Amino acid sequence: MGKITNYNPYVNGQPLAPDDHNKNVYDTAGGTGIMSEPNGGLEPANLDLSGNFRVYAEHIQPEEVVRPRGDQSLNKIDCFSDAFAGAPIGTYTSLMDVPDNLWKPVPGACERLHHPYTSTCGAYFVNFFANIWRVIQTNDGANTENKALMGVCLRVNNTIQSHTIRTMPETVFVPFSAASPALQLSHRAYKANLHFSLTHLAESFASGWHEVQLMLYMDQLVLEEADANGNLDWVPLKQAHALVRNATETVEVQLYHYQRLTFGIKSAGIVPFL
Amino acid sequence: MPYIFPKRKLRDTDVLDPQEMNADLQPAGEKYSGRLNEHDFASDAASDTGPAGNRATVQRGAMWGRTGTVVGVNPDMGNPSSYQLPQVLSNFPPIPSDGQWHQVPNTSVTVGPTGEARLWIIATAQYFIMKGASTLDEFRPLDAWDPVQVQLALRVNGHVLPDSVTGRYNPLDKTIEAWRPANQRFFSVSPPYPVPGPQPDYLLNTGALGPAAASVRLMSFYHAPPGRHTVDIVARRLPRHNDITDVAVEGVLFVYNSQIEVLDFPIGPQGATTFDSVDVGAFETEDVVSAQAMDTARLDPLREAYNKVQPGALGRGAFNHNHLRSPVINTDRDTLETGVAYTIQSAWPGYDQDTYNTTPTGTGWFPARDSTGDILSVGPFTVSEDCAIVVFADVEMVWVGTGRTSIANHTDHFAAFCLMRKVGGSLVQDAWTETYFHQWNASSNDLGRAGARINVPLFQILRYGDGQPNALTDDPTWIRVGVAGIHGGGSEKTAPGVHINRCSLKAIQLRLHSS
Repeated sequence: MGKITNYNPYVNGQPLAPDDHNKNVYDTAGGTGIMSEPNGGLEPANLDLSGNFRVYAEHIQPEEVVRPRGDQSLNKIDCFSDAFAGAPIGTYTSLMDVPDNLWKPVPGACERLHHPYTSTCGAYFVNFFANIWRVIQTNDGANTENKALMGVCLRVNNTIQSHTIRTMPETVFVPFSAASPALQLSHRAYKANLHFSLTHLAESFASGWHEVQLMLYMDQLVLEEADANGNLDWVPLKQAHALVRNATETVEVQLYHYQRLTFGIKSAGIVPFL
Repeated sequence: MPYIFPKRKLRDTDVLDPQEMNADLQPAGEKYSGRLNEHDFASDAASDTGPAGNRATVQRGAMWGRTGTVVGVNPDMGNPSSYQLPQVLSNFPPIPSDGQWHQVPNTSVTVGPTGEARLWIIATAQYFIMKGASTLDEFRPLDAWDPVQVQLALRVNGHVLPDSVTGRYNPLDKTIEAWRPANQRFFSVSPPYPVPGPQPDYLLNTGALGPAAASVRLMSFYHAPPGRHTVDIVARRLPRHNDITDVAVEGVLFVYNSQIEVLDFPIGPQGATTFDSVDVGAFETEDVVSAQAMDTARLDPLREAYNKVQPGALGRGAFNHNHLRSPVINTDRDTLETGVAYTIQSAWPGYDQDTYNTTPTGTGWFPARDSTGDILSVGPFTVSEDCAIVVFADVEMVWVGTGRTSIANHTDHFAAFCLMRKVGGSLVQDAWTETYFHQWNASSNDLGRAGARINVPLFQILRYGDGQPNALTDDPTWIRVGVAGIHGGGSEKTAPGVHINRCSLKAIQLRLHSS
């Protein structure tokens, strides 16, 4: 197939040869027919490469080179540990140890794309804003600490991408000892307003469904205590604190503690390159 | 236009009918005249392989285009042994503190004219909160109690893209504190308040960025109509609620280093070719079938046209992914994931200094690496045609420390990061990729000594031979993330340690095609 060079000439004074004419119109052998050659047979040799021919933008079908897709959620969502937490505090020492099934998807931070053809590579990203309430139990801030894990990561096509795991900063400090109720609840969550932009690159990009999802893990704030029958059970972390309501009133209260990650504006996207 | 086939096969006993003869010839002429489509081309028709002259080249911008600008601003933080806090510069304007969106200086770019297109906008911006706006002022090292209430965003044609805002849709939104009283009645004081049950407290000022110095990476898609589009970075300083009495309100916002890059992917591009056609005259009744009538007047022009197809003969969307060569020349990525925590105490060499440090306690940019010595690195990349390398990096910065072992409780300690590459035997880093984060999560008011735990987002597009200013010509042997520490204040000028954890580096080399 390719250039039309093998045609049959018409000769004046000679009878018209039907077979030759038919082949000039359509010939499966190739290189002859003016109808058969364009039927999927035009090759680089048919193009005016030494002259004007270039592939212009108008020649390319929409989204046949780059097929980006993105989504967003502007709504705020509070993710509390009583709903989103995985394991009790102390179960895991690192987020790297957390099994995949304990990571929870963050609502509104996902993009799912059906890609109809195989591409070379694809970039995935999730951007989000968060206010962080991550708890440490501590008395001195340095030597004796019990940090509750809290972090995020990207899950791409149902696989946790470990390199995207990000631990949230510790912002809330709860004293170990209930014997020191004069201690005020101390936290820095006023300023723990951070923006995260996480990316992942897949160096091959198969046709089919692709998904990027922001995932969340946080520890349950619970303690193991014996009940009246001596059986161990998990109970919510409760601590005595002195709370100052205004300049004149300080009260001692028992507080149940939780962790919280509040998400602001979120966006996610996938950009496959042919 | 679909495949074309003869409507009948001419046989010996047939009478030549002009209409049937026309049906043999005219469909081929009609197809050539602007109707060649994806079914007419072999799968390698425009895949751009083979030696030059035997391959179909792609017009620059047909697959993707790029428009962007970079802004490099020296924050004047001194150099090793004489560090200082970031300074207010004499010729650089602040962002007004009126709660309104304002353009980040020098970040406006005009894209197009495009056809209908999808724009992928990527930007970075480094901000600082200064004590004031005069040149005598410097960085205000606010601690973890003072949120600075900064939002940044992308803007297209005057419209702020809401999904790019670094904050909340309602920035004045309250956030509940994550505890609840075990007591049914909150107060036990006398007389008790008339509240029926638990009354948790809430936080204010949690709808915008908190740290006093940080860099953010913004991304968004924009479905662009045909025309020119003005894209820029905007910032605003939000007001603070005043019912938290211990929160200071002063400080002026400056945005120094920034980049904005717009990748446009055509969807319905404007036509750029000149229409090309071939005229096949119709046979009339009693026309003579001769060599001149068949070959010279009809079949020869058709053959010539199909043997030398002009761009104007193609219909819209004549090529699909099967016909086209990928714009991707190369990709590479590297990740450090397990057991990577490592502290680097390398002194920042000063702004825009190509100083590479090979020891974690010396001076210069030390590469992000893990505790086993594995360096985060991508490459090499070979530049043999006009191209761009799109680079993303994410680094988890855990803390800025006093030395290499303990977290600093000083908000004037900075961690600095940049993208750097090796060219020949030399290090090259572009100053506008430098980012700075202070140890925001420090306070003397409470129990804890906690890390900043910021995700450091780095980004750069390296442009090679694209005919624009600052286009590069070198082959990067590798691309890495540089890490350094800055002690911005106090009498001790030893560089702080920067503790990093999981990180990743990705690069996509894209060809720009012909000019």
